[in-house]
Amino acid sequence: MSLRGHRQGSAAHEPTERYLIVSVAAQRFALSADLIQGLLTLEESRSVGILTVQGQDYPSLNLAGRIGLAEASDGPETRFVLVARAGTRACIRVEQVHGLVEVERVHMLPLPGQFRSDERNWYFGLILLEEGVAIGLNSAWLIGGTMQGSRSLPAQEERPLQLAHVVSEGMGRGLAC
Amino acid sequence: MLRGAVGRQRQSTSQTCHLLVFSVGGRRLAVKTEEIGGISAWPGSIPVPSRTPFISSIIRRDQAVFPVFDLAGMLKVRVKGEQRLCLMAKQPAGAMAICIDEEMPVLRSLDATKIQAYCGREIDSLGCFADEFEDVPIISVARLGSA
Repeated sequence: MSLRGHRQGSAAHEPTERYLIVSVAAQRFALSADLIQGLLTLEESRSVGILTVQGQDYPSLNLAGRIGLAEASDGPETRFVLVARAGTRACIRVEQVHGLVEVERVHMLPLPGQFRSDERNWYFGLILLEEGVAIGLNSAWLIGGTMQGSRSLPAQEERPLQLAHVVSEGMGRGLAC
Repeated sequence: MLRGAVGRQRQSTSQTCHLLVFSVGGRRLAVKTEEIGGISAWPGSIPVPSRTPFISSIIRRDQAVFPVFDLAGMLKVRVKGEQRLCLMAKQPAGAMAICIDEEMPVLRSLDATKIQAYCGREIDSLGCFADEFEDVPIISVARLGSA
Protein backbone atom coordinates (compact mmCIF):
# COMPACT_ATOMS: atom_id res chain seq x y z
CA MET A 1 0.00 0.00 0.00
CA SER A 2 1.35 3.42 -0.85
CA LEU A 3 0.16 6.96 -1.12
CA ARG A 4 0.23 6.67 -4.87
CA GLY A 5 -2.73 4.39 -4.58
CA HIS A 6 -3.14 0.68 -4.50
CA ARG A 7 -5.93 -1.20 -6.19
CA GLN A 8 -7.78 -3.50 -3.85
CA GLY A 9 -9.08 -6.28 -6.07
CA SER A 10 -8.43 -7.69 -9.50
CA ALA A 11 -11.07 -6.85 -12.09
CA ALA A 12 -10.10 -3.58 -13.78
CA HIS A 13 -13.65 -2.83 -14.97
CA GLU A 14 -15.23 -2.97 -11.52
CA PRO A 15 -16.37 0.40 -10.13
CA THR A 16 -13.99 1.57 -7.46
CA GLU A 17 -13.80 4.15 -4.73
CA ARG A 18 -10.67 5.60 -3.18
CA TYR A 19 -9.93 5.66 0.51
CA LEU A 20 -7.09 6.77 2.70
CA ILE A 21 -6.35 4.05 5.23
CA VAL A 22 -5.23 5.33 8.62
CA SER A 23 -4.74 3.94 12.11
CA VAL A 24 -6.47 5.46 15.11
CA ALA A 25 -6.14 3.76 18.50
CA ALA A 26 -4.46 0.83 16.75
CA GLN A 27 -7.46 0.25 14.51
CA ARG A 28 -7.68 0.79 10.80
CA PHE A 29 -10.14 3.24 9.39
CA ALA A 30 -10.92 4.29 5.85
CA LEU A 31 -11.48 7.95 4.99
CA SER A 32 -13.04 8.78 1.65
CA ALA A 33 -10.36 10.27 -0.58
CA ASP A 34 -12.84 12.99 -1.54
CA LEU A 35 -12.40 14.45 1.93
CA ILE A 36 -8.64 14.57 1.97
CA GLN A 37 -7.00 17.94 1.63
CA GLY A 38 -3.55 17.12 2.88
CA LEU A 39 -1.29 15.51 5.43
CA LEU A 40 1.00 17.08 7.96
CA THR A 41 3.66 15.58 10.13
CA LEU A 42 3.82 16.26 13.83
CA GLU A 43 6.62 18.75 13.28
CA GLU A 44 4.73 20.57 10.58
CA SER A 45 1.61 20.74 12.66
CA ARG A 46 3.54 22.23 15.54
CA SER A 47 5.17 24.76 13.31
CA VAL A 48 1.86 25.95 11.98
CA GLY A 49 0.32 26.23 15.45
CA ILE A 50 -3.44 25.98 15.14
CA LEU A 51 -3.27 24.18 11.84
CA THR A 52 -3.89 26.96 9.46
CA VAL A 53 -2.89 25.75 6.03
CA GLN A 54 -2.88 28.06 3.05
CA GLY A 55 -4.95 30.53 5.03
CA GLN A 56 -7.58 27.97 6.02
CA ASP A 57 -8.23 26.91 9.60
CA TYR A 58 -8.59 23.22 10.29
CA PRO A 59 -10.20 22.68 13.72
CA SER A 60 -9.06 19.58 15.56
CA LEU A 61 -11.39 16.59 15.39
CA ASN A 62 -10.85 13.97 18.09
CA LEU A 63 -11.90 10.86 16.19
CA ALA A 64 -10.76 8.46 18.90
CA GLY A 65 -12.77 10.30 21.51
CA ARG A 66 -15.90 10.42 19.38
CA ILE A 67 -16.00 6.66 19.03
CA GLY A 68 -15.01 5.92 22.60
CA LEU A 69 -11.36 5.03 22.11
CA ALA A 70 -8.35 6.23 24.03
CA GLU A 71 -6.07 8.38 21.96
CA ALA A 72 -2.57 7.01 21.57
CA SER A 73 0.46 9.14 22.31
CA ASP A 74 2.45 10.77 19.55
CA GLY A 75 4.89 8.63 17.62
CA PRO A 76 7.16 8.93 14.60
CA GLU A 77 4.30 7.99 12.27
CA THR A 78 1.79 10.42 13.75
CA ARG A 79 0.14 12.51 11.06
CA PHE A 80 -2.55 15.13 10.84
CA VAL A 81 -5.04 14.50 8.07
CA LEU A 82 -6.70 17.62 6.76
CA VAL A 83 -10.23 16.99 5.59
CA ALA A 84 -12.96 19.18 4.16
CA ARG A 85 -16.50 18.65 2.99
CA ALA A 86 -19.11 21.18 1.90
CA GLY A 87 -17.08 24.06 3.27
CA THR A 88 -16.41 22.49 6.65
CA ARG A 89 -12.85 21.62 7.54
CA ALA A 90 -11.20 19.52 10.18
CA CYS A 91 -7.88 18.10 11.17
CA ILE A 92 -7.72 14.50 12.39
CA ARG A 93 -4.73 13.20 14.29
CA VAL A 94 -3.89 9.63 13.31
CA GLU A 95 -1.19 7.26 14.48
CA GLN A 96 -0.24 6.20 11.00
CA VAL A 97 -1.20 6.70 7.39
CA HIS A 98 -1.07 3.38 5.58
CA GLY A 99 -1.82 4.73 2.15
CA LEU A 100 -4.43 5.30 -0.45
CA VAL A 101 -6.36 2.33 -1.76
CA GLU A 102 -8.72 1.94 -4.66
CA VAL A 103 -11.45 -0.40 -3.52
CA GLU A 104 -13.85 -2.30 -5.73
CA ARG A 105 -17.43 -2.17 -4.55
CA VAL A 106 -17.44 -5.93 -4.06
CA HIS A 107 -14.87 -5.45 -1.33
CA MET A 108 -17.03 -2.98 0.55
CA LEU A 109 -19.40 -4.70 2.95
CA PRO A 110 -22.24 -3.22 4.97
CA LEU A 111 -21.94 -3.18 8.73
CA PRO A 112 -23.53 -6.41 10.01
CA GLY A 113 -27.08 -5.88 11.24
CA GLN A 114 -26.17 -6.94 14.76
CA PHE A 115 -24.41 -3.59 15.19
CA ARG A 116 -27.47 -1.55 16.00
CA SER A 117 -26.44 1.49 18.00
CA ASP A 118 -24.68 4.81 17.28
CA GLU A 119 -22.03 3.05 15.23
CA ARG A 120 -24.52 2.72 12.40
CA ASN A 121 -24.11 6.48 11.96
CA TRP A 122 -20.36 6.38 12.43
CA TYR A 123 -19.57 3.87 9.70
CA PHE A 124 -20.78 3.26 6.20
CA GLY A 125 -19.42 -0.26 6.24
CA LEU A 126 -16.30 -2.39 6.21
CA ILE A 127 -13.59 -2.57 3.58
CA LEU A 128 -11.81 -5.82 2.90
CA LEU A 129 -8.10 -5.17 2.53
CA GLU A 130 -5.53 -7.68 1.36
CA GLU A 131 -4.78 -8.19 5.02
CA GLY A 132 -7.46 -7.34 7.51
CA VAL A 133 -10.38 -5.00 7.40
CA ALA A 134 -10.68 -1.22 7.52
CA ILE A 135 -13.72 0.42 9.06
CA GLY A 136 -15.26 2.86 6.63
CA LEU A 137 -15.99 6.21 8.29
CA ASN A 138 -19.17 7.98 7.31
CA SER A 139 -18.01 11.31 5.88
CA ALA A 140 -21.19 13.19 6.80
CA TRP A 141 -20.98 12.08 10.43
CA LEU A 142 -17.26 12.67 10.59
CA ILE A 143 -17.33 16.23 9.31
CA GLY A 144 -20.67 16.93 10.98
CA GLY A 145 -18.87 16.78 14.31
CA THR A 146 -16.82 19.80 13.40
CA MET A 147 -19.65 22.09 12.45
CA GLN A 148 -19.26 24.07 15.62
CA GLY A 149 -16.31 26.37 15.38
CA SER A 150 -15.89 25.92 11.68
CA ARG A 151 -16.66 28.50 9.09
CA SER A 152 -18.07 28.35 5.64
CA LEU A 153 -15.96 29.00 2.62
CA PRO A 154 -16.70 31.55 -0.05
CA ALA A 155 -17.61 29.90 -3.32
CA GLN A 156 -14.22 30.48 -4.93
CA GLU A 157 -12.51 28.66 -2.07
CA GLU A 158 -14.50 25.45 -2.49
CA ARG A 159 -11.84 24.00 -4.75
CA PRO A 160 -9.99 21.46 -2.63
CA LEU A 161 -6.35 21.97 -1.97
CA GLN A 162 -4.03 19.68 -3.81
CA LEU A 163 -2.64 17.19 -1.36
CA ALA A 164 0.72 17.65 -3.03
CA HIS A 165 0.77 21.20 -1.70
CA VAL A 166 0.72 20.16 1.89
CA VAL A 167 1.95 16.60 1.96
CA SER A 168 5.06 16.38 4.04
CA GLU A 169 8.49 15.43 2.82
CA GLY A 170 8.33 12.67 5.35
CA MET A 171 5.45 11.06 3.49
CA GLY A 172 7.73 10.91 0.51
CA ARG A 173 5.28 11.12 -2.34
CA GLY A 174 3.24 13.99 -3.61
CA LEU A 175 -0.29 12.90 -4.22
CA ALA A 176 -3.08 14.89 -5.72
CA CYS A 177 -6.43 13.64 -4.57
CA MET B 1 -51.21 -51.49 15.04
CA LEU B 2 -48.22 -50.62 12.90
CA ARG B 3 -49.56 -47.17 12.14
CA GLY B 4 -50.14 -46.57 15.79
CA ALA B 5 -46.65 -47.67 16.68
CA VAL B 6 -45.09 -45.39 14.10
CA GLY B 7 -47.16 -42.50 15.33
CA ARG B 8 -46.05 -43.04 18.91
CA GLN B 9 -42.44 -43.24 17.81
CA ARG B 10 -42.71 -39.90 15.98
CA GLN B 11 -44.25 -38.33 19.01
CA SER B 12 -41.45 -39.65 21.13
CA THR B 13 -38.76 -38.43 18.71
CA SER B 14 -40.20 -34.93 18.56
CA GLN B 15 -39.65 -34.61 22.29
CA THR B 16 -35.94 -35.17 22.01
CA CYS B 17 -33.89 -32.02 22.19
CA HIS B 18 -30.52 -32.02 20.41
CA LEU B 19 -28.05 -29.81 22.20
CA LEU B 20 -24.45 -28.76 21.85
CA VAL B 21 -22.76 -28.37 25.21
CA PHE B 22 -19.78 -26.03 25.29
CA SER B 23 -17.97 -23.88 27.80
CA VAL B 24 -17.00 -20.23 28.10
CA GLY B 25 -14.57 -19.30 30.84
CA GLY B 26 -15.25 -22.70 32.37
CA ARG B 27 -19.01 -22.07 32.47
CA ARG B 28 -20.90 -24.86 30.75
CA LEU B 29 -23.71 -23.83 28.46
CA ALA B 30 -25.90 -25.58 25.96
CA VAL B 31 -27.51 -24.47 22.75
CA LYS B 32 -29.91 -26.18 20.38
CA THR B 33 -27.99 -27.64 17.47
CA GLU B 34 -30.39 -26.09 14.97
CA GLU B 35 -29.11 -22.67 16.04
CA ILE B 36 -25.49 -23.52 15.30
CA GLY B 37 -23.84 -22.96 11.93
CA GLY B 38 -20.55 -24.64 12.77
CA ILE B 39 -17.49 -24.74 14.97
CA SER B 40 -13.94 -23.97 13.93
CA ALA B 41 -10.69 -22.58 15.24
CA TRP B 42 -10.91 -19.03 16.49
CA PRO B 43 -9.42 -16.82 13.78
CA GLY B 44 -8.83 -13.77 15.94
CA SER B 45 -11.10 -10.78 15.93
CA ILE B 46 -10.85 -7.25 14.58
CA PRO B 47 -12.17 -4.55 16.93
CA VAL B 48 -14.99 -2.34 15.67
CA PRO B 49 -15.71 0.45 18.16
CA SER B 50 -19.38 0.29 18.95
CA ARG B 51 -22.04 1.11 21.49
CA THR B 52 -24.00 -2.08 20.96
CA PRO B 53 -23.62 -4.11 24.16
CA PHE B 54 -21.23 -7.06 23.76
CA ILE B 55 -20.81 -6.57 20.01
CA SER B 56 -17.63 -4.65 19.30
CA SER B 57 -15.57 -6.77 16.95
CA ILE B 58 -15.76 -8.87 13.82
CA ILE B 59 -14.02 -11.86 12.35
CA ARG B 60 -13.10 -12.20 8.71
CA ARG B 61 -13.50 -15.37 6.69
CA ASP B 62 -12.23 -14.93 3.14
CA GLN B 63 -14.51 -12.33 1.58
CA ALA B 64 -17.04 -12.25 4.41
CA VAL B 65 -17.11 -10.69 7.85
CA PHE B 66 -19.18 -11.71 10.84
CA PRO B 67 -19.94 -9.82 14.03
CA VAL B 68 -18.64 -11.27 17.28
CA PHE B 69 -20.82 -11.55 20.35
CA ASP B 70 -18.78 -11.28 23.55
CA LEU B 71 -20.49 -14.03 25.50
CA ALA B 72 -17.57 -14.22 27.93
CA GLY B 73 -17.95 -10.51 28.62
CA MET B 74 -21.64 -10.92 29.27
CA LEU B 75 -20.93 -13.75 31.72
CA LYS B 76 -18.05 -11.74 33.25
CA VAL B 77 -15.54 -14.51 32.60
CA ARG B 78 -12.51 -14.93 30.35
CA VAL B 79 -12.37 -17.44 27.55
CA LYS B 80 -9.99 -20.27 28.49
CA GLY B 81 -7.26 -21.88 26.48
CA GLU B 82 -4.76 -21.04 23.77
CA GLN B 83 -6.63 -22.90 21.01
CA ARG B 84 -9.96 -21.18 21.37
CA LEU B 85 -12.90 -22.15 19.23
CA CYS B 86 -15.34 -20.18 17.16
CA LEU B 87 -18.99 -21.09 17.44
CA MET B 88 -21.09 -19.70 14.62
CA ALA B 89 -24.58 -18.80 15.75
CA LYS B 90 -27.48 -18.51 13.33
CA GLN B 91 -29.38 -15.27 13.71
CA PRO B 92 -32.11 -13.58 11.70
CA ALA B 93 -29.66 -10.77 10.85
CA GLY B 94 -27.02 -13.26 9.70
CA ALA B 95 -24.44 -15.50 11.30
CA MET B 96 -22.63 -14.28 14.40
CA ALA B 97 -19.41 -15.60 15.91
CA ILE B 98 -18.86 -16.46 19.57
CA CYS B 99 -15.45 -17.21 21.04
CA ILE B 100 -15.62 -20.24 23.32
CA ASP B 101 -13.14 -22.27 25.40
CA GLU B 102 -10.79 -24.68 23.70
CA GLU B 103 -12.57 -27.59 25.38
CA MET B 104 -14.26 -29.49 22.57
CA PRO B 105 -18.05 -29.10 22.65
CA VAL B 106 -20.12 -32.26 22.86
CA LEU B 107 -23.44 -33.20 21.34
CA ARG B 108 -26.13 -34.33 23.67
CA SER B 109 -29.65 -35.56 23.08
CA LEU B 110 -32.02 -34.84 25.87
CA ASP B 111 -35.61 -35.72 26.57
CA ALA B 112 -37.42 -32.40 26.50
CA THR B 113 -39.19 -33.30 29.73
CA LYS B 114 -35.84 -33.04 31.53
CA ILE B 115 -35.55 -29.36 30.72
CA GLN B 116 -36.34 -27.27 33.76
CA ALA B 117 -36.64 -23.60 34.45
CA TYR B 118 -33.27 -21.93 35.02
CA CYS B 119 -32.96 -19.69 38.04
CA GLY B 120 -29.78 -17.85 37.05
CA ARG B 121 -30.25 -14.27 35.95
CA GLU B 122 -26.88 -13.66 34.33
CA ILE B 123 -28.08 -15.00 31.03
CA ASP B 124 -31.37 -15.25 29.17
CA SER B 125 -32.06 -18.96 28.90
CA LEU B 126 -34.62 -21.35 27.52
CA GLY B 127 -34.23 -23.48 30.63
CA CYS B 128 -31.61 -25.84 31.90
CA PHE B 129 -30.85 -29.49 32.42
CA ALA B 130 -29.00 -31.19 35.23
CA ASP B 131 -25.97 -33.32 34.54
CA GLU B 132 -23.65 -34.98 37.01
CA PHE B 133 -21.94 -31.70 37.89
CA GLU B 134 -24.35 -28.82 37.68
CA ASP B 135 -27.36 -27.23 36.08
CA VAL B 136 -26.44 -26.37 32.50
CA PRO B 137 -28.39 -23.41 31.10
CA ILE B 138 -29.70 -23.74 27.56
CA ILE B 139 -29.25 -20.43 25.80
CA SER B 140 -30.80 -19.18 22.61
CA VAL B 141 -27.97 -17.84 20.48
CA ALA B 142 -30.53 -16.60 17.99
CA ARG B 143 -31.65 -14.10 20.62
CA LEU B 144 -28.21 -13.03 21.83
CA GLY B 145 -27.62 -9.34 21.35
CA SER B 146 -31.22 -8.62 20.48
CA ALA B 147 -32.34 -7.59 23.95
